[in-house]
Amino acid sequence: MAKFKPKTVYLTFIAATPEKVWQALTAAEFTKKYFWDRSIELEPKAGGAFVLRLPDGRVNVRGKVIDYDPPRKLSVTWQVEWPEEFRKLPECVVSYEIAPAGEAVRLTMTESHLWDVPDAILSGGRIGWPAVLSSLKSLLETGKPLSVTLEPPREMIEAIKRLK
Amino acid sequence: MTYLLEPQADMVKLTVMHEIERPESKFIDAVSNGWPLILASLKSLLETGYSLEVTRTWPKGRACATEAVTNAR
Repeated sequence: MAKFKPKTVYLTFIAATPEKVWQALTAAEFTKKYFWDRSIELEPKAGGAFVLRLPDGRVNVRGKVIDYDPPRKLSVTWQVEWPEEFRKLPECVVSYEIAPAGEAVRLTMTESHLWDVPDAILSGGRIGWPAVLSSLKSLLETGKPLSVTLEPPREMIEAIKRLK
Repeated sequence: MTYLLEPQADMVKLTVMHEIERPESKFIDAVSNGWPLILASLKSLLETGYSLEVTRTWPKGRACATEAVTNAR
């Protein structure tokens, strides 16, 4: 896994316990509320299957669990299956790290890639992750997620079309 | 240092850009932990009425900001 290089890092602090943040990241009834209605499916062990499923049952993202260490670290490989044209994207690694910070919790999301990813393609995650994780923070602190509507940036879609 | 505020429905997207004309700057490394903490606390304050407790006082024993800048070039 050493060859995957971090390209996008999002760091936030949440007034919650590490266990609560872990639950919000790994339980479908939580991800549905802040991750645009997607349900996480996770086999709770390294090497297990990981799926992010759309409400109509289709698979949005599929991967394998690399690290499963509750409530500290979860990392998964990340292969987009829908939208279909995004299947051309090489697999990346998404990693969540949870650490106590006073009475709060520091949550770090790292998106790592094997190849020299153009900024246009990284723009999707760089816009999307802050929306997702900001909503997760609101959900845990106020009981209500944000209702951010986002489309993949046009520059990202164009750059994916140019991929071989 | 730039704050960018973009209203979106009933929310605001806040972007902070802290730039320095020095490639691979350690100063940027040093502020990359501080900003997320301050901004996360600001978000909590606006949404719940309470800031994050760790941001209310400067921690005892931590180097002061000028030292951090001096050491971080």
